[in-house]
Amino acid sequence: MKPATTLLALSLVANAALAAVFAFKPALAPPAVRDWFTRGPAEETAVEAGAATSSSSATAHAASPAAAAADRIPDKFWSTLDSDDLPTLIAHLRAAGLPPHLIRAVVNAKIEKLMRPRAEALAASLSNTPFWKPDPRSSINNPGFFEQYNQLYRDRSRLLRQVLGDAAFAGTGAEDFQQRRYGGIPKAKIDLVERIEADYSEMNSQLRAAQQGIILPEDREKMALLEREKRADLAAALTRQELAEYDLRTSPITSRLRTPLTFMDATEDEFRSLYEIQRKYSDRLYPTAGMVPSPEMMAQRTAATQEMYAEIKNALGETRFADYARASNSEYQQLYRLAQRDNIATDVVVRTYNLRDSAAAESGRIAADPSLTTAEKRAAIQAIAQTTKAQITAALGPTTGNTYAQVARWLPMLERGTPISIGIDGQVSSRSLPTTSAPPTK
Amino acid sequence: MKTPVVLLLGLSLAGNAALAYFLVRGASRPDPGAAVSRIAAAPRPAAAATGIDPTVWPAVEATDLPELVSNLRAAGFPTDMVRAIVAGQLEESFAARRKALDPDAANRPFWKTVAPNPQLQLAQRQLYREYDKMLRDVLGDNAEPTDPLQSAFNQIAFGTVPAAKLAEVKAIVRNFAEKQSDLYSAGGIVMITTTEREKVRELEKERDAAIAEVLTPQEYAEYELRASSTATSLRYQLTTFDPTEQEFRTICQMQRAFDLQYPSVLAMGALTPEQSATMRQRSEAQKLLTDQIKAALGPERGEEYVRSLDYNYQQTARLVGRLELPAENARQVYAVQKEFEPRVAELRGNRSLSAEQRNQQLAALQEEATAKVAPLLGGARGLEAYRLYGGTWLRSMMPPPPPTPAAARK
Repeated sequence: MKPATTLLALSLVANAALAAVFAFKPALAPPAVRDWFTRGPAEETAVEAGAATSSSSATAHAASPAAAAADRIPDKFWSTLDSDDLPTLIAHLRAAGLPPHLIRAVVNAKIEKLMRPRAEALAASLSNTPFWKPDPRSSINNPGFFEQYNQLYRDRSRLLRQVLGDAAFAGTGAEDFQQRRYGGIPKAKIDLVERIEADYSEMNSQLRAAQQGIILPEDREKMALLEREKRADLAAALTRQELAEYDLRTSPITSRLRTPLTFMDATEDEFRSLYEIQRKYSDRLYPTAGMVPSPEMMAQRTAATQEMYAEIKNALGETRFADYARASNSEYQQLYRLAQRDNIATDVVVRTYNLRDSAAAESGRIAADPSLTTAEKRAAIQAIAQTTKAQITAALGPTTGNTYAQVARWLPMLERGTPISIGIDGQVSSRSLPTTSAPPTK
Repeated sequence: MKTPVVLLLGLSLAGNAALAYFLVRGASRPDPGAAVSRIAAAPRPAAAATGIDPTVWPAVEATDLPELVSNLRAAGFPTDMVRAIVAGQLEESFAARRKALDPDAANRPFWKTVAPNPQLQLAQRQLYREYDKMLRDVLGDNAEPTDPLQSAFNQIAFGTVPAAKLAEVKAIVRNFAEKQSDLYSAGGIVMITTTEREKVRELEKERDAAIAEVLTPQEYAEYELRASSTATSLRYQLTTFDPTEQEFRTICQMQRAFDLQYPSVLAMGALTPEQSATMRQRSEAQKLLTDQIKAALGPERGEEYVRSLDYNYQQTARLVGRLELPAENARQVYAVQKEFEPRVAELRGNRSLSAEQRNQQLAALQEEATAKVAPLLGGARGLEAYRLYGGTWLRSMMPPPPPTPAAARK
């Protein structure tokens, strides 16, 4: 063998040996080819195929600074952090220096993974439902599924809170929510109240699932019992003053009042005054769910509404009562939202809304006018509709004006020539036009 | 022969030199394993207790998301954890911007809510879309969570769409949902007037046309049977009817053609005279359609189908189920309803009776009907529930008390 050939053979063997060292210890290989040694050519192809859906920037990164950073990263790092025991996992993540928001993200994902078998069992029940059968996700068609589904999410949330404490929801706006809901109640008591709320919410949810969308008399008793017990637990946990504050913040009355109070930009005193008045009437206005209101109950409700509005008017005074009545009216709320879209000033909105008052008054005057025949009254009321519509369009512009005209249900009444009246609660009702058979003397 | 050998020898020696250089360079770099040992001995109690190397995470974390993904993968994080961390990081980076959009949120009094603000809603939606796009850009298909329940939900709608076309169809549906959400928000959420409904219908047409282009006619027909608004509402509406697959296909096909020809004009607000006319036309056509479906199903099932469309019957059937009574009882209660409805109508139309006489006779009729349905519902308990679930006709036999005149505002 010639010397050059011998040298070539030795050099090739040396190359092979050096390559074998890189294959055995990829960390020693240059970054540009390290992945090749790490994964091997077959796996590399698969990874590329998988990464094809990611952005091109991600691909570009893999070969440059990211790859350089990856040089310093042990490829088994996750396995040193991972644990199915959540406190251990959290301890590992904290020790590794992950920030709280990422610890929460990882723990949440781990809980999801741990509860996956339950989710899969539920999913199997969905997958087995033929497409022509009722939607298995419906709470009415499939209350059992719905409840298990809710329970799964409740358990996940509970576990997250259990293992992470307040950090579970830090930075998610949960603190603001607690402040709004519980005000000055001490933190330890808030935790207790939240547990009470969660427990009763779960029991109520199970009860509703068992009802299958049909509330029987005994269900009402059970719901009332749960409500009484919850109340007793809250009363035991809170002082009288704290309980009153809790009621003020969590009551359905407050929920109903929030939108009107926002629209009228109410003060806290006005809110407290309205809350107290509404609380007095709530039993008559909102009887127990699942009961058919008798005609007597309906009459009581109507009377209670009238009385309540009169009392509110007395408490707020004429001007603010008008603001409240308007802000409580769904038609005004819709008009306000429309106007917001088109940056129309609030005073224009108020003036436009008040057009219905003048239209109602005028239609009433015409209806009572003995000098007009029925046909003349009808025509005069129809003319009011046209005039009012034109005023609405002039004030709001054609687009918003036309949309509002679709929402204002009293306009078609006037267009039919029917007089309207507006109750103290802002509700519009049509009045019958007395028939005049013979033309009166003019 | 001599020249190629020399050339190969030169190349091979250069290779030796390069490989040797990288080997020496690589070996002189700090060894991550050694770093672990060094830091493990460092005074960091948590790390010491857990044996976790606190120097690794700083090398993994990166503000640049593709780099973060690359590092997480290099560190052996599984796909679900990569997604969780990237989403968590994105959330954090968006939190300040989200807060800046509604800076008063934290100080808003508890008795108030956020005032309507279409600009704010638009900005919030845009921010969410930006977040979603960034997540998809960086994670690709892995941006979608692998929640089995979500997959099962998707299976209901997209079960027959071929895998190769799935992403495209889902993207079309997502795009439509975004446009629809923009439209509703622009109107103020609760404001769905006939104008908005018309625009939504146009969007639906666009979406369906786009999906039909992606799928073959056969695939599209199967998709419609599962995901169209007609199929979705039929699945709910036909619960009591309990159709077979063939019956569902027949009904859905006929109803779909009808829905496309006579779209609903129901919306908030008053109808224009044209819309009222369209609605009357639709109502007439619906009667015709019901007859056609009834004929297609045959006499017995056709009858059952018509009965199942009645909301009172649907409610009664559910009540009977809840009371654990035989399903047949629901049919018998419904038969009582059908027996009494014409008798009530006749009494109400009888002008020869005074109001008092009419009310007396209606009360007697109500008593007679109640006596018939009560045993079918298992007695007083079932009857009380029936007044709420299915028994509206029984309750409304008597005229309502005269309305209390509304107090004048001024």
